[in-house]
Amino acid sequence: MTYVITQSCCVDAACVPVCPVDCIHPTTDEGDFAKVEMLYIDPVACVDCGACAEACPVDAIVPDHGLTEEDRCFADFANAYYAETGRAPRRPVLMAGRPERADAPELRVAIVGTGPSACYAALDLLERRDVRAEIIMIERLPAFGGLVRYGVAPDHQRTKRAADAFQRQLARGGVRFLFNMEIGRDISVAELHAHFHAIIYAVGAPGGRNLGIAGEDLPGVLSASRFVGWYNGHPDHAGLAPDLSGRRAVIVGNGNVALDVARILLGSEADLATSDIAAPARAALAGSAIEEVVILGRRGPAQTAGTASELSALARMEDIDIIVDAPPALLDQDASGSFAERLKRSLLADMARRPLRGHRKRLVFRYFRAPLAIEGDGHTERLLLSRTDDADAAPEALDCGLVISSIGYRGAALEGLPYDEARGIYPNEGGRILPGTYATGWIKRGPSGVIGSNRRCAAETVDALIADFGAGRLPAPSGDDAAFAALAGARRSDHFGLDGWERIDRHERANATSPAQVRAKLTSIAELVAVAKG
Amino acid sequence: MVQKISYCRICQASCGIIANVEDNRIVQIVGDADNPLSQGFTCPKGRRGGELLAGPSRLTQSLKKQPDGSFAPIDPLVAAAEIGARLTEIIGESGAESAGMFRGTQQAFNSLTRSIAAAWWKGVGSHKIFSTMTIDQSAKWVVSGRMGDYMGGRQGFDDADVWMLAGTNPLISVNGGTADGVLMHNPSASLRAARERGLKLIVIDPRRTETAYQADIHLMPVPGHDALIFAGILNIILSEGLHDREFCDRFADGVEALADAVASATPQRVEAVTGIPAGQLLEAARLFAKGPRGMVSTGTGVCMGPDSNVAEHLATCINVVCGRYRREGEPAFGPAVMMPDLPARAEVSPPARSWERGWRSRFGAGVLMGELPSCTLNDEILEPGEDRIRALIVSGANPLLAMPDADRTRRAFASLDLLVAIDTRLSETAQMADYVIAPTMFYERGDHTMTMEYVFPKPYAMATGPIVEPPPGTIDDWRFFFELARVMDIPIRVSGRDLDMDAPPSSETLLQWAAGRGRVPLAEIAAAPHGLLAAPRQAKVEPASDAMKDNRLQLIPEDVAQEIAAALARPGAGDGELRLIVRRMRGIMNTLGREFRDIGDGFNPAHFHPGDMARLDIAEDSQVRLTSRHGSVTAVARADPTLRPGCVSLTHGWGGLDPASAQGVNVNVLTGHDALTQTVNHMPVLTGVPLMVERAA
Repeated sequence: MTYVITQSCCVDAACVPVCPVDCIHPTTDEGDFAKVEMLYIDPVACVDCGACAEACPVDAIVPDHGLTEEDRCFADFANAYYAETGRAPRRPVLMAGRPERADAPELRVAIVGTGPSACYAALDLLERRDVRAEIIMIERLPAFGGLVRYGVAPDHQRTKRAADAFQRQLARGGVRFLFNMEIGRDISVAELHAHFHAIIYAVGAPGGRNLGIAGEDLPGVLSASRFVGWYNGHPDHAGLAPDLSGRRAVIVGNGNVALDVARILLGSEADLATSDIAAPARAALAGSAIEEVVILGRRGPAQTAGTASELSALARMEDIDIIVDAPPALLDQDASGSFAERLKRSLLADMARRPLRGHRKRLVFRYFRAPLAIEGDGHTERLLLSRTDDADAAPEALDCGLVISSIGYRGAALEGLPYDEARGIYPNEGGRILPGTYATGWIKRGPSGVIGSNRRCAAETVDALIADFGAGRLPAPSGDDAAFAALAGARRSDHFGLDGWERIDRHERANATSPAQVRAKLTSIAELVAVAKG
Repeated sequence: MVQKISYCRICQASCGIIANVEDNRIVQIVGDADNPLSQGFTCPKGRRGGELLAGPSRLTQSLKKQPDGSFAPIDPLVAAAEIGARLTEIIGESGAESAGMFRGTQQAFNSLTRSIAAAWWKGVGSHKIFSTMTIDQSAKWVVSGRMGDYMGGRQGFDDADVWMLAGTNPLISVNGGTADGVLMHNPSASLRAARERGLKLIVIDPRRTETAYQADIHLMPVPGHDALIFAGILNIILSEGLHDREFCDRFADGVEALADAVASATPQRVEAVTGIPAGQLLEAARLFAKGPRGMVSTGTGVCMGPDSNVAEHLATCINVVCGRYRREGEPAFGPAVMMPDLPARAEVSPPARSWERGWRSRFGAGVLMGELPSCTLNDEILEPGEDRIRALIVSGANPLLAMPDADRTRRAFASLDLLVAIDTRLSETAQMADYVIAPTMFYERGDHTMTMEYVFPKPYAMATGPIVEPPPGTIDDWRFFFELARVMDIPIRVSGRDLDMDAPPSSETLLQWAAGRGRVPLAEIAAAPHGLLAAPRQAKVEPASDAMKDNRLQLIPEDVAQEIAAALARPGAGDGELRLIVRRMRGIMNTLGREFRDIGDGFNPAHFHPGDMARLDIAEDSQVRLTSRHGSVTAVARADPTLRPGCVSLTHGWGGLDPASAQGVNVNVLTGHDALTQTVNHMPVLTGVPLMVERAA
């Protein structure tokens, strides 16, 4: 018997130090860690103690006898990984767990955002023994979790459990919350700084990158960030009403977000039964006319940007046909490329071999294609494509009613802070924008990595913050808690704290429309605030 | 922050651990990969040892019940003086037999407590001593008492070709059932290694347990007919001549009578009653008989079920007729390191039938392994009689939850003149007590593994000092018993020494004395930080001694023959009948660990096969009423596709004093004495109990 890490692996590596026999790899100090898509348990070395499963924030780790049919492939992935890499030599057991120290100096920190990067920053601060961190987390939306709530696909409920784990640990650590309060709109950056030793901006990258081609403004062209926000019930995007009346949708880009969008567009109602997809999106998708989703990649199949784990989620969809439009030679198994590349190539090769069964819906992976222009008479009718592997080839026209650009996210500028327009981030060094002003997550490093990547990113930022505090570079704030509460109250009366969010959480869970569904999301600011205020 | 190496004492496995200690608190526990026995394995409850020591439910001072029913703190030595005086008074009025002692698992994992408490009890002079052993595994004692024991030793797991596990799930319980070290340490990896070298595993369990999942053959019977299943296996082995004639000729009496006794247990009959396909039973019996090495070992599923004594007896008969014991000249199995190293001999120690000799209780119970059957405790307290128990000392146990017929146990305890509970938390039993003594816990005291050696598969030993200081109001269990003895003027003799009752020795000294006759000095063991694997014993199994050479194992004495006939004649379950089976939750050790909020559901769900739920129209998480002939409980229903249809599975050791308690359901409300209560050990049926199930309003 062994434990197996499954699809929701967040790579935060909380499992690694608690393993007594060091059978979870790669570890944070192994070479391929930064590039890895998920971690793997060595089935031969595992002693089946379950310590990793207890440490996992997203319940990704399950005993092999408890694997569902669709998760069996993850046992195969682990076998393949260790067949290839062999086992790393054992290292001494690391120990986590750092209780607070009562006599350490108090450090007042505000964290802007409540997504994974914000949560990891707060948790890291709580674990520091050289300070006693008083933390408030400020969220512009009336809901907790950032991209866990509004980015992670609604059918990936195990991954979404990360929010529960964060919330539980933060509440236990005494972190306070201020929901429905936007920095830069309700409270200025300067005002915020007057009340805290330090501010950590963990505001993410809310916008999508533009395609930069003609026709991009036509109705029927959407950024994935808006589309994902729509089906996840993000208040900013809940009213999006995308046009699903065409037969074909094209997704530009083949990263995990593109694969999520394809899965949601092609899934049946049953596939979404346990999800917390927003009600309007559920209804719109049920009436969707889309029968074909094309995923465009600029490069070849081995360079598919999405992870093997998400590709396998598509491969498990039984009631669609899948076409992998790539020369067989590029899908051949040979020893070139990294483990992840070969794993993906083999998954794509399996999909390419899958016989077509004449299902109503189908998924087409296309490679070596770049979008040239979008054409149509008042709305999207076709996408012109060029070949990236043949500059002389004539452009190809692909009829479609919906184009979703999924070529990356972008940060947004905030008045009072420097902004790197080219990279879409707040310029920083190891998380330090200025002494007292810090960034973590996507606004710090750009939109890359998975939930768990933010753990080390946050640790680096907190290191910089603690160093500045220790060196006396963070003057004591002029305003205290009471002053900040007064300021917040003066700006908006409809803000609330953790108790309000807990009311929303309970309300949403209680109003699930079926026993299988986790929650029925509220999607408007007004509804959320009304429930929070009881 | 410092790292300390020690070993866990929640169960017999004694897993090596590394504790992260900060400000006298255990912040984290991880398995010690360098421990030669456990090799890094720990279980969820073991990893929460720090929480057990310092969690909110830990008792940090002793308590005395006040006239208004509340508890007030009391110094444990003052309490000992008061209790000793009261015990002396009661014994003066009603005799020594009016005092009783109940010992639990948590006493067993504390080597000094066992010996000092036993020495004190000897001085008290009462026969009324009980333990949890007689509510879960005393069928094994009964077998030994009626069949005798082969003294050359059992075959080991390490070089076995085949193993049959019945009613035990060692990947969760960390205990292969029979105290022979099977799958007790690092169980999953040990099983994997054994299967990789070719071991065939046969599992008999009504649930597709974690262990059954690994089996080559999984027999999945209707619960409650283990005797019939083992008889069926014996029938195949004996009728096909697959048994070890040489071993039988030399060491066993009654093989032919046994063959006759099990002849009715044909594969077809077994299939008709238990649902095990006849072909699968044949395959399992032949695979086991082919061996050539390996044993049947059984767990609580067999020992707590109907006809447990003969079911165990027949399981042992399979081992005997297949000759799965070490013969003269084979290497002797010897885990002894600190224990005296006794020679193994190819001879039989004859049936002792201790319960038929000497002292008998007024309920006809005799002494079994030095104690009385726990299932007679309620009668001893409640029924009139000159030697009625008036005072009860409970040491490291929670009998109110663990014993069958929970309601009657509560009435019995309420009627005592004196109830003393030595417990680390205010358990259900402790809440009823006049005095609750708060003892130190493991990690707060030194100990060594001497008393656990008999369950180790290898000659292993470890000694540990305390790794945190105990709360100031607590007392070592042994020290409390020493104080009782002193107050009652009872001398204590342990490890061959008379203690100076005015100057108690230190724990370290007592531990040193206890290990004084081992083959490796304690100092050498203490110097091995991760525990010590002693050089294997070179001894071989010796020939029989003259005095013992004519003894035979008695396979089918008269009383056993009658019980087998009755067991094999029992009808199967009626159409749609449901039966209770009990399971162990991975995060819980008997009644200990229910307070861990992150383990399980925090309550005791009733698991059903999804097909039964559909048939009975029971929804997931809905309330169901379970009724046996002894009682009724309301539980939360959960689907569990690993169950055989027809089973309702709950965990033992749950439930509060309040029947409506959110803590969950006590399955012992559903158990009690009836016509199926066993002879000798008075065991009622605790698993395989027929239930009526209905949706609760």
